[in-house]
Amino acid sequence: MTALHWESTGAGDPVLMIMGLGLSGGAWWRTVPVLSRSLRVITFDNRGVGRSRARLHSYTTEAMADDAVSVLDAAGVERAHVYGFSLGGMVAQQLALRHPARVRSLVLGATHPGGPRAVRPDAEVIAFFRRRASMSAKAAAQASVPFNYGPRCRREHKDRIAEDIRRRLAHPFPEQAYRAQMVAAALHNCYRRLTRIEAPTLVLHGREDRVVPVANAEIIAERIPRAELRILEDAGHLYSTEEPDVDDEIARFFAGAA
Amino acid sequence: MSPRVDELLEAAVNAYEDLIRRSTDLQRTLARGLPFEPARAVLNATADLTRDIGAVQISGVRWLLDS
Repeated sequence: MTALHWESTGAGDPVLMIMGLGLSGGAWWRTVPVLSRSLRVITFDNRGVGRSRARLHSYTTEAMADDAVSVLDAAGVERAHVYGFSLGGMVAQQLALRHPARVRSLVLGATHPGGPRAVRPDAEVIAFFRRRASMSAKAAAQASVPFNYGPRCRREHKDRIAEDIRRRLAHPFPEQAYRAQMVAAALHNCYRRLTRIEAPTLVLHGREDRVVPVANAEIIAERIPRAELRILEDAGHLYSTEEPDVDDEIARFFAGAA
Repeated sequence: MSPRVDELLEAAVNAYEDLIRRSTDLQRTLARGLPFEPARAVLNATADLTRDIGAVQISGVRWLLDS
């Protein structure tokens, strides 16, 4: 059966955090200390990743959204702010569409709407992600740096990148789970239904994101009625490493949406 | 595709999605009422399969509609 590992930090209005491809809930390590000053922050490992287990290695973002609701149930939370990053942002879109009563507000970070209207990354990025599943965790983490971080971060914050990698390697994931999450991302398609999301939404994206091109954020923000768009100049895909102050901005957004 | 046909197809997809949702919910409700394993686990597994197969079908159709 599917068993999900989750953790709760802090007190206040609850916020559920949904992480991206192959990363455990521990990858929120920069953000949790900031948000938990004023919020109850709930993180979890997506199915098949970190300390969570899955019965089948066949995932969809719909199934992962239902997993997220199971975490809310287990935590005794009826309604929460939701912050999804990358693949987690796709899961958060499904969560807001499938379970609208459970979502108080939404932050969609570095994600895309799915379907043929989504803007694909360049050929070099696609080739890397195809290769990545067959690489060792350490080699993949090092090789992903040019894709995950913007040029400024790679130049000025090598220490932050090294710390990210050290923490990421603490929870390696099986190849099967990685492939299953890739399939879930490929099948994801919320483009048409984004207009139905009623929750106040903050769409965040790094201008230099190569993994999920920034045009996707513009599409999402145009289609969600109560969305505001925040583009982080100079930041790449993992923008919270490059722009740690963005976490304070997110906390203020949740406070305003309470 | 004319806007009218597009609307009709979209409505059909939405109705199918609703059907999948109801079928999944029904299986889960029945599973909760079962007093013994492995019947409960089997029914929960079929509910998951119903949701996931339906999700793949619906995603595919929406992909075509959006193209």
